Amino acid sequence: MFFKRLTKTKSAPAPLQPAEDTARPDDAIPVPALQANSGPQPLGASDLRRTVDSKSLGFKTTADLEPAEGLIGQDRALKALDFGLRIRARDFNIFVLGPPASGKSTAVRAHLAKVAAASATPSDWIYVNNFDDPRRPRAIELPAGRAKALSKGMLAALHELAATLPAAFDAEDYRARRRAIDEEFRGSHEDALDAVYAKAAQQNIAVLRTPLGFGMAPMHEGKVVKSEVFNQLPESMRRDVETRITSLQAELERILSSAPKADKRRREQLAELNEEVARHAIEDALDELSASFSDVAEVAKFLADAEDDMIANAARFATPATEAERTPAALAEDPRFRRYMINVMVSHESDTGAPVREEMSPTTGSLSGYVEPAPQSAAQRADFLAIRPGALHGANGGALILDARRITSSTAVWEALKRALKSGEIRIDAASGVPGAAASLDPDPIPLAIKVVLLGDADLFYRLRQDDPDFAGLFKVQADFDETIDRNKDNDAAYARLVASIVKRHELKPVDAAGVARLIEEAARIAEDSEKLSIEVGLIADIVREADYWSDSADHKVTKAEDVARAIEERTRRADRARDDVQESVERGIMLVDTKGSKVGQINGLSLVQKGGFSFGRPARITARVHLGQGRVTDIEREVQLGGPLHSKGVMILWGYLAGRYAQDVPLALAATLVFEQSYGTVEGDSASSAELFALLSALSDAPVRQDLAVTGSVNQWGEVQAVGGVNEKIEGFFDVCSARGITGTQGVIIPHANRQHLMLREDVVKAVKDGRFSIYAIKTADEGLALLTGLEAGQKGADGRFGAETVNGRIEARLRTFAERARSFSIEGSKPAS
Amino acid sequence: MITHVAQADEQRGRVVLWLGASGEPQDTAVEAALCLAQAFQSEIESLFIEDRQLFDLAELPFAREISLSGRRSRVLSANDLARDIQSHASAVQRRVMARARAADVTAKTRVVRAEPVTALAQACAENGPWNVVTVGSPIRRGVETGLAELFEAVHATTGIVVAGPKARRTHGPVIAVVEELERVVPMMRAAERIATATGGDTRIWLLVHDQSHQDWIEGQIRLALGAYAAIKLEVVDMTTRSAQDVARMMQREGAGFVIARFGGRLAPEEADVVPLAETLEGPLFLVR
Repeated sequence: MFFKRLTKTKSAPAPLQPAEDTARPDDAIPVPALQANSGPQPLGASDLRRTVDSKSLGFKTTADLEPAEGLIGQDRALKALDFGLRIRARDFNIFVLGPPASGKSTAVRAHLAKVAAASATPSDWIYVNNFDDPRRPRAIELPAGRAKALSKGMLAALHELAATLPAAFDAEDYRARRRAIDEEFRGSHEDALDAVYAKAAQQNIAVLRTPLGFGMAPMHEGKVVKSEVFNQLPESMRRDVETRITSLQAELERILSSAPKADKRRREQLAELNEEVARHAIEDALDELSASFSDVAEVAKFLADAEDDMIANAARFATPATEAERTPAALAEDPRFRRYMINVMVSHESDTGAPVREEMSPTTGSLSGYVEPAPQSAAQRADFLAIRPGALHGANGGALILDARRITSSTAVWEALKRALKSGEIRIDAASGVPGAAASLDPDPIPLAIKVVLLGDADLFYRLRQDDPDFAGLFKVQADFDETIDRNKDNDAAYARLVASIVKRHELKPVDAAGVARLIEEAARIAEDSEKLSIEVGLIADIVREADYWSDSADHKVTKAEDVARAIEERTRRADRARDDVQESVERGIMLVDTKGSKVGQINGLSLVQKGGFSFGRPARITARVHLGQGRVTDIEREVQLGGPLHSKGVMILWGYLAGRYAQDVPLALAATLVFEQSYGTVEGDSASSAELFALLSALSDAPVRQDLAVTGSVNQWGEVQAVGGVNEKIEGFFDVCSARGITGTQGVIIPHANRQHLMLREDVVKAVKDGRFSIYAIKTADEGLALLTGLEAGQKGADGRFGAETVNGRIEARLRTFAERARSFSIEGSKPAS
Repeated sequence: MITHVAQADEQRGRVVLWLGASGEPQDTAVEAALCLAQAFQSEIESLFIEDRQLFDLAELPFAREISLSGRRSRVLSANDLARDIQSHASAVQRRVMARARAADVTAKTRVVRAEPVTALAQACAENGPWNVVTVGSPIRRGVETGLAELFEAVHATTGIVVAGPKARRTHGPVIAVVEELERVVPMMRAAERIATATGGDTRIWLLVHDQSHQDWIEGQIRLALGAYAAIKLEVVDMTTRSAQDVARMMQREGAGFVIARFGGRLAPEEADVVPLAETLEGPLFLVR
C-alpha cells in the first residue's frame, strides 16, 4: 500500500526555484523517493462502510414483523405534537418542520387520528334564518349528531304544512268565518252607502258613479234633471236642491273616508282568523319537533320564532302545493318555506371523536366558508341557505392540517386563517371567494376551537418567525421532525418494521432480512453518516417499490438484497447522465486531471456537483502561483465573481494561516494566485480550502504534490482540517476517474478526520480499498496532509521558533523571509533620494 | 225561453260586454263574457257606454265630484268628465282586448255616449236576435242596473249575465235552475256548452214549490235527461227555502255559472237578483 513507501528518513529539500516562477505545473515531477514520516495511516475497509449483519436482525422476511405505525425515532416531534394538540389554548397551534418526503405528513395524520379518536366529539352547527333581520343569519350550536335530525324534522314539518295549511284555509269552516267578516265589513259600509242612496232617492237625488268618484244630481222620473230645466226652477227650489245635495255629499264623504278604518278593522279580524286557523295546523306540525329539541335553548327559540313567523304569514300558505312542490328541493326553492329550513354547516355522528380535516389547496372560501351567489336570473337574494362551510367549520373542535407553503403563498388566505385564529371565530366574509357573492349577508360568526397543524420545512418556519409578527404568537408549538435517527440495534429493528409498513401499505412482496439490511445501509448513505439513518420515508419507500419491481423481474418470491442493490443502481443510472459526461471529459483529456506523478503548485481538489436530486463528486485541478508582493492572495474565482462568499472566506482564512504560521516576525511580502482550473461555474463552499492551502504551500516550498491523491476538507487559521459535506460522493468521484484510467494502487483521497463517521462508500470502492488498490486517508491537520502529499516531513518549530530547514515548513519559512528581505531592499532603494 | 247565442259566422248575435264609467270592470264579468264566447264560438263586442246622464250632471252649476276615498271633492266640468271617461274607456278596452286575444276570442270595441239601455238595445238590434249582454260592473245594492228595463227594451237578447261583488270564478259546476219542464232541455244544453268552456260538470237544479207536482215533474225531467247520464239532477224543495237559501247552497257547492230565468222563483225581479248575485261566487246568467 501507498503508506508503506513512506519512511521516517528525512530527505534533502528539493532545490528552491526562483521566486518569480516557483510552480511548474506543466512539468510532471516523479514521486519523491524521500519519505517523510509515519503520518496518517490509510483507513481500513471496515471504516468505509458500516454494514448490517442481516442475521442480527432476527427475522427472515418483513412478513414476520409487525409493521411500524407512524414514524420511528421521532419522539421529540411527536411529544411536541401531542402537547400542542392537548393544551387548551387557541394560540398553541402547531408547525411541523421536516424535510419533504420525510413521512411527517403520514405520521402527523396517524397521530392526529389517534388523539382525535379519543377526544370529545364537537358540536354540530347550523345556520337559520333571522326573522328579525334576514341579512344576519343566526348560527346555532347543537349537541353532536342532532343537526341533521333537526333539519330532517323541519323538512317533514314543512312538507306536512304545505298540505295542511292550504286545506285549513280551504275548509268550509274557515271560508264561512271569513265570509262573515267580509259581510260584516261590507254590510256596515254598504249599509251606510245604501242609506245615503236611499235618502238621496227619497229626495229625488241621483247618485252617479264617475270614473274617479261620485256625483249627485237632482232627478226627475228616474233621470238626471238637465241644467236648462234646473235653471228654470225657482231660485228657492234650486237652493233647496243644492242644500240637500251638499248635505248628502258631506254624508257620502264621511262614509267613504271611513272605509279605510273599517277595512283596517276587517283586515285585523281576518288576520286574527288566519292566525287562529294557522296556529292549530302549525302547532300540530311543529309540536313534536319542538319537544325533541326543548333541551337546546337556541333551537327551541328558533322553532318558537319560526312558529310565530309562520302564523304571522299564514295567508301565504293558503295556496295548495302539489306533491311535487312539497319535495325538499322544491320547498327550498319556495320562498314561503325556504325561510324556515335548516342549513347544516357541520354535523358529526355522536361519539366519533374529534374531526381531523385536511385542506391542501386552500382558498379563503374553502377555508372559512362562503356565500353562494344567487343565480343571476333569480329574483331572490342569497340568503342563509346559500352559506357554505369551509375547512375551518369541518375541523372545528378538532384539527386542521394545512400545507404551510401553499397557505402562506396567498396573503388573503393566510390573513384569513390568522384572523380566525386570533379572533377565535369563523366569520364568513360574504364578498370573498366567490365572484358575485352577496356582500350584504352578514352571518353570525361561529366560535372556533381548533388546532391548526401546518406542514412545512425549517426554512419556511424560520422565515415566518422572522417576517410575520403574528406567526410566533399563533403557532407556539414547533414539532421538529429529524431527518435522521441514530443508528443502533433498536433503530435497525425499528427500521425493519418501517420497511414492513411500506410493504404492507403498497401491497408489495416481503423483503428478506438481507434486503432490509441493504436498505438500512442505503439509509445511512442517504444520511451521509454511518452512524445515522435517513428517515426520508418517501425515498426509502420508492426504493422498496422499485426493488419489488426488480424482484418481480428476477422471479424472486421475496425482495432480496440484490433487488435492493439493483434498484439503487438503476435509480443512479437513470439520473447520472451528467456524471457520465464529466467522467467522459476527464477520460478524453478534455478536463485536465492528473492521477499520477507529482507537480508543484497543483493539486486535485474534489467538488460536489448537484443536478436535481442527484449529486456526485468530481476531481478539480487547483493551481497556485506565488511571487513577491504586498501580501495578497488573489482568488481568481472571486475576482471573476464565480466564487461564492463561503469559498472566498475559505481563501481568506488561508492568508491568516500563512501569516500566523510563517510570518510572525517578518512582513508577508507575498502575492499568490489561486484558481480552479477549467471551472466555468460558481464555486461555493469551503471544502476545497485545504486543497488550496496545499497547492499554495507546494508553490511556496517548491515541493511537488502527488497527483494520485485528491483532497477534500476545509481548514481553519490554526491549520486544523475540518469536516465537509458530500464526502462519499467526492471519494467515489475520484475513484471513478482513477478506475477509468486504471487503478495504480497508489491512488487515494485525503479527507478530514472528522468525516470518518460519515463514510458509507459504495461497495466497489470498499472492495478496492480492501484489495489495497485504493486508499482513504483521514487527516486532522494541514501538516499531516502536507506530509502525505509531498512525501516530506512537514516540520515543527524548534526552540528557536524556526522550522527545520529541511522540512516543508522550513522551506516555506525561508521562502517568505527571502520575499521579505527583497521587499525591504526594494523599499530602501526606492526611498533613497535621486542623485 | 231561448238560450241560443249566435255563433261567429251566423252574424246574428254576439256577446255584448257592457262597460261604463262606473269604475273598473269586474274580472269575473269579463271572464264570463269570454267563456260564453268560447262556449258558443261567438264574438264579443266590448261596448263602452258613456252614460249621458253623467254629462247632464256635469252641466249643472253646482256639480261636484267626490273622490272614491271621500277625502277630496272637486267641481265637475263636462270637459273634465269627458277627458276622464275617455282615458278610462281606453284603458278598459285595451285590457279587454288583451284578454280576448289571450282567450282566442274575436272581439271588437265601441264607445258610445247615450242612455245605457238605448245603447244596448241599439247594439243588440244591429247584431241580430241572439245576443247576450254581460254587465261589466258588479251588480250591487243601491246601484240600479235596470235589469227589468233591459229585458224589456233590449229585445234582441236571450239573456243578461251579471256578477256580484264577491264573484271570483267562472270554473266550477254549471248549475241550470229550472222550474218548468219545457225549459229543461234548452237550459241543460246551454249549461253543457258553458261547461265545455269552464271545465266544470253540468247540474240541473229543479226548484219545486208544489209537493204534489214534484214526483211527476222529476220523473219527466229524468226521462228527458235519459241521454245525458253525466248530468246530475238535484231537486230543491222551495216550500221551506228562500232564494237566498238556494244561493248559499250553490255557494257551498262551489258553483261557477248559474243559469236561471229572470222572473222565475229564484230571480223574480231585479231587487231579488242583487242579493242572489252578492252571495254567489260565480256569474249569474239570467235568461228570459
